[in-house]
Amino acid sequence: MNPRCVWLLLILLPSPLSAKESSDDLTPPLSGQPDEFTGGVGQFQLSVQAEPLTVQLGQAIRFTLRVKAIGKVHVPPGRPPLAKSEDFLQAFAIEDLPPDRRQLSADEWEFAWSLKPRSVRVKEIPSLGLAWYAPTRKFETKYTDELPIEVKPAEPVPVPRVERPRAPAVPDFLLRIEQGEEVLDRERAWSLPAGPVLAALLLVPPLLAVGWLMVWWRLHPEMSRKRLRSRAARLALRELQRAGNTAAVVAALTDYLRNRLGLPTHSPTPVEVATHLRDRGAPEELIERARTFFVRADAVRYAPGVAEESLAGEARALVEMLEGQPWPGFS
Amino acid sequence: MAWFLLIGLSLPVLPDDRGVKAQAEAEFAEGLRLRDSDYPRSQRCFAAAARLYRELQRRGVRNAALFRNLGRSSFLAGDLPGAILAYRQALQLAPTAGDIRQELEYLREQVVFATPGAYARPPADERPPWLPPLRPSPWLLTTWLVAYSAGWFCLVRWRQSARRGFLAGGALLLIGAILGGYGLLQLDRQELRERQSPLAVVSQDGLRLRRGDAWTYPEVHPPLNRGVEVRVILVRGAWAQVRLSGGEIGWLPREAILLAE
Repeated sequence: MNPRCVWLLLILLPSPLSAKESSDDLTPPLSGQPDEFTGGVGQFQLSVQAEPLTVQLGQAIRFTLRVKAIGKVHVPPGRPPLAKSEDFLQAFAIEDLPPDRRQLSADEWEFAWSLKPRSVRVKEIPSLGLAWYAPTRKFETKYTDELPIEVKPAEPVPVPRVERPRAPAVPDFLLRIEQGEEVLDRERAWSLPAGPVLAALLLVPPLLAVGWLMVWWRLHPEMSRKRLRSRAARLALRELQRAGNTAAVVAALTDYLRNRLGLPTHSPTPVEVATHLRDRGAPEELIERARTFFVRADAVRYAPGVAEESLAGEARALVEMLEGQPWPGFS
Repeated sequence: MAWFLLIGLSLPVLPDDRGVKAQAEAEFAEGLRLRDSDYPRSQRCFAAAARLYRELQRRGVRNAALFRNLGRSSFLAGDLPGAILAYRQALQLAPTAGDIRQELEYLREQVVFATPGAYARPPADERPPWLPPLRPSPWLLTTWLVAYSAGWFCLVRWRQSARRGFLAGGALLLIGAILGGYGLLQLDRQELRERQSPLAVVSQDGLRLRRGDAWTYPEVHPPLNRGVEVRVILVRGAWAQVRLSGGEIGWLPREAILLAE
């Protein structure tokens, strides 16, 4: 062969060294790892074994998984987390048996567990999965076959003959039951009515109260007026109690006549008072007394040399007399 | 037609409510009779009585006396969780019954708690001793409505007669009605909360709450024994999320708790 061709071939063909480097760089990616992945890198085959296959409830089965590498071993797989498998947990109480990873040879490992069936309904050891990162740069997962087992009920432990159990002492109230017809009652759960009904219950009484009051005032107008009278009289009597001079007494009585009988002026003369009371139908005796009061008050306030005298008592008497009148024309 | 008749005649005829009640009473009486001479057999009789009372409950019978009978039968049959659950249901229906409360206290004393302290203990009664236990009822609502209406009546009478006694009475009644109405609303909310998270009792010893609804989730909090009372927040498949009286929340297998129907 031409030496130049040999050199060309050497350049064009991939170098064995670079091929080795690329095959060694088999770091599994962090994303996309299957649940069954335990760190193994390479190609593996699985086999499982269980012993014994027939147990009594309460006895343990030794379950072993052998992993054998096919070809070159990059990273051996770790122990599969059996305790994270719902299928195994529902069927067995699981205990990892040491060592964590037993090396049988350069390319074979063994993992062992103790499995105690939880019930006699357990019929098999479920399939166990293991994943690894293959040289094809893909994750591969393989599952073992289910192993049929038989779980027998635990044999009763022979116990020495014991005395017949005696009933424990209990309070008397536990030894009787209710026997009346109330035992058959059907009580229903009850809760407050809905919001609109509650709002109605809240609003109806005050609305009824207001309605009742309005109807009552319409049916008994004199009672309404009496209330108004009472209020005017109470106000006047309170002012008369506090009045310190004749002007204040006159002002209190004038306000009462304005509020109570509709007297139009603020500073009435005795004649105006008498005329207004006559128009309202007051008796002559009361008119005369009111007129006299205002004459005396004017004299005390405006006539020179007239001594100050207390008119508050007379004003109170006038208010009470006026309150006693029926005032048919007043509305 | 003949086939239907044949099937109908071959089906066992279930007794009516009175018949079931009579059977339960007979089983209970038989259990009492055998209690001193043959304790295991007497327990079976009490268990049969409890089953019959549960049958009545399934048919819709619901009252404090029934649950009390169920609780007593369950306890004598050796079913402490069932007894506690039945007594709690009786107390829900008759909250003012002091004797039911005392009997429930006795049953709670029989529970063996796994840890000392307040963990997993029954909820404490925070009600002041002078306040009778109440639950929303038509009678309570009627009483409130009467007091509220009477308050307004007094106010109207005060406006009509100007007597101060009516004003004072009306004000007192209305203030009482406002406070009572607020209390009634609170009671109703509490009852609603209880209905949304029904009562349950742990029926197995040594159970531990888990963080999630599978065996693979880690265990949290100390173990729980038979008779511990819990509230169920959520049932998902074969698991139930529960809350203890102290507020601890976790998951238990559904088959490990007795749930109030």
